[in-house]
Amino acid sequence: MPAGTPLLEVEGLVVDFAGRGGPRRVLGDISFAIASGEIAGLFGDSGCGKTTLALAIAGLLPRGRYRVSGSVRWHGAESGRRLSFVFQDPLLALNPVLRVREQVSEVIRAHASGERVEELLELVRLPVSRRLLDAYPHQLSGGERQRVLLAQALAARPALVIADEPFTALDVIRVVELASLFADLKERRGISFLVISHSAGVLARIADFVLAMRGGRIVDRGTPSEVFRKSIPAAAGRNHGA
Amino acid sequence: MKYIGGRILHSLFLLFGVSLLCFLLADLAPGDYYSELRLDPTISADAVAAMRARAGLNRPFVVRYGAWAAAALRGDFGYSLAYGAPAGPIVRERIRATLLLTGTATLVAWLLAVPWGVWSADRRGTWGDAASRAILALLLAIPDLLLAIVLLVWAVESGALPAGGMVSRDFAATGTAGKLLDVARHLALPAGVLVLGMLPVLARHVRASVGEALDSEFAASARANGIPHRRLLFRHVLPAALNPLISLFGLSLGTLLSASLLVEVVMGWPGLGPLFLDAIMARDFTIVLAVVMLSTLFLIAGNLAADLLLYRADPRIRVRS
Amino acid sequence: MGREALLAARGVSKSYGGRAVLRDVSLEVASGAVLGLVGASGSGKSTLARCLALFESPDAGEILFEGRPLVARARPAIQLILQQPAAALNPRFTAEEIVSEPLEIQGIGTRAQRRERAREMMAMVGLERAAAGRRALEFSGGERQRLAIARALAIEPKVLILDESFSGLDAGVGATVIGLIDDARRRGLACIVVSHDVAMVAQWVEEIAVMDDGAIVEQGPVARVAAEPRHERTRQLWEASAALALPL
Repeated sequence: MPAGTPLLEVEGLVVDFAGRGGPRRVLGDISFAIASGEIAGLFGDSGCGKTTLALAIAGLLPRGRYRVSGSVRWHGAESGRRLSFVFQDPLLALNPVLRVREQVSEVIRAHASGERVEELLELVRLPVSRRLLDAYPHQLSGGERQRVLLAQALAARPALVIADEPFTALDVIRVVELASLFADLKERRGISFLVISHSAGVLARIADFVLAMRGGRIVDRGTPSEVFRKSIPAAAGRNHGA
Repeated sequence: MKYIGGRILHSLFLLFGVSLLCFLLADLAPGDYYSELRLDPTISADAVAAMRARAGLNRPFVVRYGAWAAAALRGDFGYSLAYGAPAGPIVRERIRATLLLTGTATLVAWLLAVPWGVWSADRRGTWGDAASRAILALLLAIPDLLLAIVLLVWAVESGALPAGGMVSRDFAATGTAGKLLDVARHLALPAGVLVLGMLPVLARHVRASVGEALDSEFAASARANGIPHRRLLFRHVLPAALNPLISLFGLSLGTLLSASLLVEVVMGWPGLGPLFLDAIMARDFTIVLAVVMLSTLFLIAGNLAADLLLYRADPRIRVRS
Repeated sequence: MGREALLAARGVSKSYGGRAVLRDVSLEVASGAVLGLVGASGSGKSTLARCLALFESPDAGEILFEGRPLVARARPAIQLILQQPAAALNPRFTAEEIVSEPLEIQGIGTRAQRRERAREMMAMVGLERAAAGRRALEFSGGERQRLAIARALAIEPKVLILDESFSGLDAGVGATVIGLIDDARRRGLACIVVSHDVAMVAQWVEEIAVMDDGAIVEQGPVARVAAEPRHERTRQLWEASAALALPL
């Protein structure tokens, strides 16, 4: 798909949570669009609703407790999958009793996508070896686990990957490496990303545009420099890294 | 290897402790095998004392225990005063009947509990699940004894299944197929009672464990990655939910000798149950001790088996990072 | 520097299952000082932090507190705040119970006084006093991190060790917490900040120690280490950190 063609259009998205005291609005009137081959950043502090928004777009909010209204439109994504979701904590998001090989092959199998385990692992820049393929999640380092999660997400050949706080558990050196991997995947494979992070520095580095959220609403949007220049310099300085 | 060695050593201490405690408690209880005879006026007190001496019951505690323990280590569980024969073989023969009953019941209970638990975990919050929980709660609440008696009454009234024993009178005369069918018909009711007793506990544990795995982040991630539901349930969730179930299975194995005691006595199954009860009433302590020791051995073996299974099944325990 | 070391590690080594995690590490922090301990994942900095707080014992070497070997009784004086707030707090406890727990364990004050102190501390880290009755699981990750900090400071420790504790906090709250700690430093608190984000740490600490593969590879005043890094790892950390700095 040529870069720049519209991929996802969200309009007037509203999410209510059925809490004990009655329905509570957690996301109010969200509208934005992501094109193919684009990295969008979703920025905000904890509790601002970024994860909820991502889950809503992915259709992963438990239907009993959440009510979603508004429109989420996909354009022209081929017969392949539209999106994959990379959960925040790799240790929890990987099945503890499955080896790396199976973690990835199960997803390939589910989509009959024709990918190969070794190729996917190479794509996410993991050194493919017997040791790695046979390893269980608890034997891997945090960075390696993160990449296995990403390999799983890519196995479905998605047009868009939503990554929820992928940089949180990594040290600065690894953050830079992972960020460059995202950028590389965007360039080489035309995959779009919606990256959720409370770290302005990372988003500034790779995002084509940023949506800043607070209290369940989008309070600012634009290129990273536009959005982040407005923050208090001291706060911005302190809020970089992972 | 060191681990297993440690466990075995620990088990030996446990067996020693149990035997000592049992011997002590038996000794503290008033009377012995010959106490009943004292009531008979035709037998003189001297005669009773002589019988007692011949059986070695007047020796000090330590000597009696020592002698017993030394023999037990060789597999000789002493002499049954009530049966007038060595205790070991008597007990061993009854074990077969008990294991047949509990083995069958345990197998059936697990084969029913796992699908039931998985099914209800998958349908939590639905009416089907609510009904299932109500049924299991009801089964849990009904005492085994009541169930046994109700079934016995039904068996007697309807004559559909035999109301006691393990084999019919003409057992020896029938062919192999006939023999199997005969035992199976006798087995049905007591095994049924045991299954109904075990089922709620097992099914609830399976439901809880599978439910927890279904709620986990890795299940959510797998779902998000498009893994279809059935495959998710059986290839992803169930293997991850096994840990507590393996421990429970070990407990099932461990109680293979002791779980059916009550049922055997009430329903007339010729296993360890009636033997044990009679021996207690008659103060035939060699039998009592033999049964207790073998039950303890099974319990220990069951636990060890569970630990070994757990070691194999959970990579987090087996493979150090 | 002229100040007595309040907490020190001398020749500390530790291995996990045959792998050396700490190799003959020596480090000290004086009263009122703030020291940065930085390194990549797996460098051993968190393990060192846990040894300093007596959460773990070194295989070799010793930990000295106020000049004497550190014993369990002195533990309340050294507070360690871990990285994962969810794991450090009992989700069923209310915020008030969590923050006042160390006081309760040490038998400080009456119940009413402890409750008041808990609310005070909550206010100081920017949480509503009214939220004191809410259970921990009702708070967001960042709020729980603040509860952990409030809990650590409630007991007025002599040493505070923060292990990646700022990662869940936004700028404003981070600044508030640093202010709180600076206040406590004037009263003698020593602080060790463990992090992989050198640039963030460098803005606050006076001295910085860089760890790599279980050993301290570089140590000194932060300005010098930043300007003239002598070890490859230091350079890498600074470059990566700078790459993530916002162009201002």
